[in-house]
Amino acid sequence: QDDVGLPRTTVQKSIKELMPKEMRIAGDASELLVQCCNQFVHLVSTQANDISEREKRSTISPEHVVKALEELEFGPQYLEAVKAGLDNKEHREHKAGHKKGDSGLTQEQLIELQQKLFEEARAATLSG
Amino acid sequence: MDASPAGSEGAASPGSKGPTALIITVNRVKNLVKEDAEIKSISTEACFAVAKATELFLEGLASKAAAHMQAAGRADSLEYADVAAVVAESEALDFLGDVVPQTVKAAALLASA
Repeated sequence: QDDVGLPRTTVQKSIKELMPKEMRIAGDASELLVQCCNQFVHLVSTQANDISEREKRSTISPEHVVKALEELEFGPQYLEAVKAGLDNKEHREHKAGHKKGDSGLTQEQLIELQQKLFEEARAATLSG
Repeated sequence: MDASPAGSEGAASPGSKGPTALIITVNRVKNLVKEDAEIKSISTEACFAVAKATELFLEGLASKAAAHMQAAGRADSLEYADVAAVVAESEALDFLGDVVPQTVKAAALLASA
């Protein structure tokens, strides 16, 4: 089913960008990676849902997702990357003035931070 | 109304290109989450957060699988076995037990014994 879950071609493309040019990915390998990502989405959203229920909220908020990632102990780079993404999104959507909770970083700094975090995540996963 | 997602729909732009660019689009996450009967409601922004985290997860998993491939002396093609081995070897990835058949896990355990 291509309607729900992650599109395999998109996943394949982005993995290829991470890897050396000559490298290929077997069809069943990328399919498996897609399944893993789908499972990850369910895991995180279920945890976030539990948290939202604990807080007696009817809708899962991004804060619930951040808390879920904390509780699932995937690592601080996840929290940083998600927070940086959410923060930057706010910058983009609220152009006028400063929003409460402004991290004070410029767009460029946030992008740099993001790249640094992704590199650290890669390094961490390779050595882990 | 929910604000429209910052990532471009369907485009393959890796997370490392910018904080709001997404491999996994917000709508896909939303549809995936809705499949879960226990989850009543999730905000678009929360879907964005999930998408971002999933992106990081994918990059980590792919990197590890590539490392496995290289350790096995191959460099041409990432195989199912490389991904499966990474899943089997990591306790943190136990939640993927349904996705990776138990026989693969057992084989990996035997191989590392």
